[in-house]
Formats: sequence, structure tokens, C-alpha cells
Amino acid sequence: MALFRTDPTDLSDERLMELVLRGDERAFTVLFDRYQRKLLTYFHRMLWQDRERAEDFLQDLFTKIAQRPHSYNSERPFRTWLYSVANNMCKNEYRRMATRTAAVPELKATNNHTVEAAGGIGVDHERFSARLEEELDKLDPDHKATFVMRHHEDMPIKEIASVFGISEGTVKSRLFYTVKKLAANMPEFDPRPKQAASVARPR
Amino acid sequence: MKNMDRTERYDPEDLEHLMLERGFDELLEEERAYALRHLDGRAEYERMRALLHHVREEKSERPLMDADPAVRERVLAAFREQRQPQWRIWLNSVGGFLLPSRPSMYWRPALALGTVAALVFTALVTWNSLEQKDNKVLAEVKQEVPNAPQAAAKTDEEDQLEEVANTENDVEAHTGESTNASASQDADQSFRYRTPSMARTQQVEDAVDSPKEMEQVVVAEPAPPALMDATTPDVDVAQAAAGGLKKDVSGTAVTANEVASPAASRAKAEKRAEITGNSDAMAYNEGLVADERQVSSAPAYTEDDLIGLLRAAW
Repeated sequence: MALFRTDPTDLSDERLMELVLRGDERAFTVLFDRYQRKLLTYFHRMLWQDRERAEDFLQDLFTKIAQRPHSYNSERPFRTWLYSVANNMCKNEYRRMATRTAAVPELKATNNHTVEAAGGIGVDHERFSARLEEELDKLDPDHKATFVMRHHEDMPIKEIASVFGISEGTVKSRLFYTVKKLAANMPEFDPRPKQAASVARPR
Repeated sequence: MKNMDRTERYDPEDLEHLMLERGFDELLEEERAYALRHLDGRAEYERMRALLHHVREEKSERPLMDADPAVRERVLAAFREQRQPQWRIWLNSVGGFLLPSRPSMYWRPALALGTVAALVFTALVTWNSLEQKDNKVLAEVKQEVPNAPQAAAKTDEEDQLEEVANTENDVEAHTGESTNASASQDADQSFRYRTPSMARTQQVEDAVDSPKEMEQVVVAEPAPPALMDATTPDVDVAQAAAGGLKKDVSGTAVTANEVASPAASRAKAEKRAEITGNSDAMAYNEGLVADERQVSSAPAYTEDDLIGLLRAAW
């Protein structure tokens, strides 16, 4: 019996999506379980560490997949397609929030200080995390999303390029200048500030 | 040469890799040259390196978040709802149509359906009427071609019947002055041109009016059309043959009928007398003449009535 029945958890994302298109609920469940944590964390980082909002976005994303599975482009890797949809949702939310913030300036302060304290993390890490989130929120949404995908989701450069529909070189450049900017804006976490200042450029 | 190639392959990603792997002091000469081509110096390199390390540590120590089970249930419910069979949806819609929660919502579709039904009905009625018109035209064409001689014959026959009718009128008008020869001639003509219905009527009348001796004569030589009374009841031939009519009609009834129209009755009686030569019939005729004189000598109105009518008219 095991010869003829394949465990859906062993199938690739693309194969599972084919089954979802045929109405296979198990395949849909496997896909949800496979990505729900990563996507929730991604939404949490991208949406000002607001857990409820992140859960709402996660539910909306998979509800869209359930209602319109044919919108999936089978020529693209499922993970890339999934993150591109998630990224577009976040960008729409940024636009919405920008409109609201322009209308009600008090909202900006509220949204920028919803940092959660993660249990088990040291004080420095907690502080670093809060400062990092604060600085990320100041970045352009695309740069922020690129940084989160690369350093928090561990996505390869090629996949990130596919998500945004840009070249790999553009992604590398974007990442490099994002890290450079963040480091410049967070000098308090420099371990050797005095030594760094003494090193001169060889040119 | 080998180092040069390696230097040429560097890019920001490789620089990031270098930062994560080695400090500025640990870099090779070519690597350091490449890093300093993009950075301001050691301090920036170390700051960026520290940042990347902090991010990595923060990511490793920060566990992934789990979604609320309710989110999972809602998503799966949405998937199941989307995958429901179509017939269920159809049945639900039928149930909703039969038992509407708000009937006021149905007046628009009901109006639309009613209009469509009225249009269809009108179209059907119009179509049927047009079709019947077409059939009539065809039927007329079909009837005209084969029945033309018959129609012509009928027309001739109708003309002859009109002549007979005119003759009857003449006979009735000039009953007293008509001769035996003309009466017999008319009788011959009417016998020739009478229709079957007329023949039946004549037969019934003869059966009613004539005695047995007369019946033989009448059958041998049919009565002229002048004798066909307009007041003759339309009775069934079979009933007449059964003899039931002899019981119902009596001589007094005939007399009474003839009193109502004295001129016609007298002419009829004279004809009978001439044909049969019966003395009783002659006497009967004479009695009728006397009655007529009595009726004419005794007017139904007085002079006062007449004068009153004239005054009213004036």
C-alpha cells in the first residue's frame, strides 16, 4: 500500500500546488503547515511586529490561494511566487498606512513602537532587535523586504531576484547598501569603535 | 594571475560573505583591496561585520512564530467551501428561491419573467393567426379549381329556385285568379327544381294535410310550390313516416291555421279541390270564402278607434 500512496509531506511545493488545483485538501494543508511559520514571521517583521495583523495577512494570503489557486504561475517556483504575493500585500499595507499617517500623524508613533519583547533573548539582542526594526522601518519597503528575505528568511539571491523581478546584481547591490546604511545608523553596536577609526584607507 | 581572477569575481555578496567569515585584519591583500574599493575603511567594514553578526544571532535566537490554530481552521474552511460540489450550490439556490427570506427581492425578476411570458404568448397567438390566414387562402384555391362546375351548377339551381320562389309568390298573390293549367305548370317546375329539403318538407306536409286518397295522388303528382305553407313545422321525416304526425295535427288545427292566413288557405284549398275533385273539399273551400267575407265585413276596429288614431297621428 505504501508503494502506491505517497506522503504529501515528501512532495515538492510545485507538486503539492498541482494537487491543490485538483482540490486536494491534504496538499493544501501540507503547504499551509510548511509555510505558515515562515510567512507569519515575515509578516511580523514587515508589519511593525504586529502579531494580529501578521496573522490576518497570513490568513488572507492562504485564503486567496484557496479561492483562486489558478492564479499560481506554475512556471515559477512556488516559494518565489508565495513571497512575491506576500511582499505585494505588505507594500499595499505600507501605502495604506502612509495615507493614514499623513491624515493622522499620531499613528506613526503608535506603529513604530510596537516592539515585542522576545522571551529568552538577552538584553543586548533585545535592544539590537528593537533598534534594527526601527531602522528597517525607515528604509524603502523594497530594501527592507530584500534585507528580511536575505537575512531572516535565508533566501538565495536568485530567489530574491525572482520575487522582485529584478537582476541578481541589483539584489546584491541593494543588500550591500542596506547593510552599510544600517551599520552607519547603529554605531552603538560597533564592538571596536576606537580601532575602526584608527585604520586608514590604503589609497 | 590566480589572485587577480579571484579579485575580479568579487561582488557585494562576496563582500558580505567575507565580513561574516573573517575580520578586516584576516583578509588577504587582494580581498582587503576589494573591500576598501567599496568601503571607507576598516571601521566601516567592522561595523557592517558586527551588524551582520548581530542579525544572524538575533535570527537564530528568535524562534519562528506559530499561527493561531483558528487561522488554520479558517483557511481550511475557506478551501473546503471553495471545493464544494456544484449540485449542492444549485440545491441551495433552489431552496432559497422557493423559500425566499425577503420576497420583496423577487418583484424585479417576477416582472421580467412575466413580461417575457406575455411576449411569448403574443408571439404565439400572432403566429397562429397568420398561419390560419395562409391555410384559408390555400383552401380557397384548392376548392375553386375542382368545384368550379359544381358551383356553377349550384348557381343555376339557385337561380331556378329563386324563380320557383317568385312563382310561389305570384301564386300566393293571385290565388283566386290562377288557372288549373298554370298551377300544374308551376307544380311541374317546382318538382323539377326542388331541393331535397324542400322535398322532405313537402312530403311531411302531405302526410299531415292530406287524407289517404290524396296521399296517393300527391305522391304520384307532387303538390305545387304554392301549396307549401311557410308555417309548416320543420319535422323529422322519420317521425313523419312513423305516423306520429297524424295523431298530433287535427282538422280543426288546420282550420285554425288557415283562418290565420285566409287568402293562402283558400288558395290552397282551391288547389286541393281542383287536383282531387273532391266535393267535400269544394264545400270546405266555400266555407272558407264565407269566413273570409265575414272577417272582411266585420272589421277588427271601430270608427272611433280609427278616428282616434288619425287624430293622434295628425
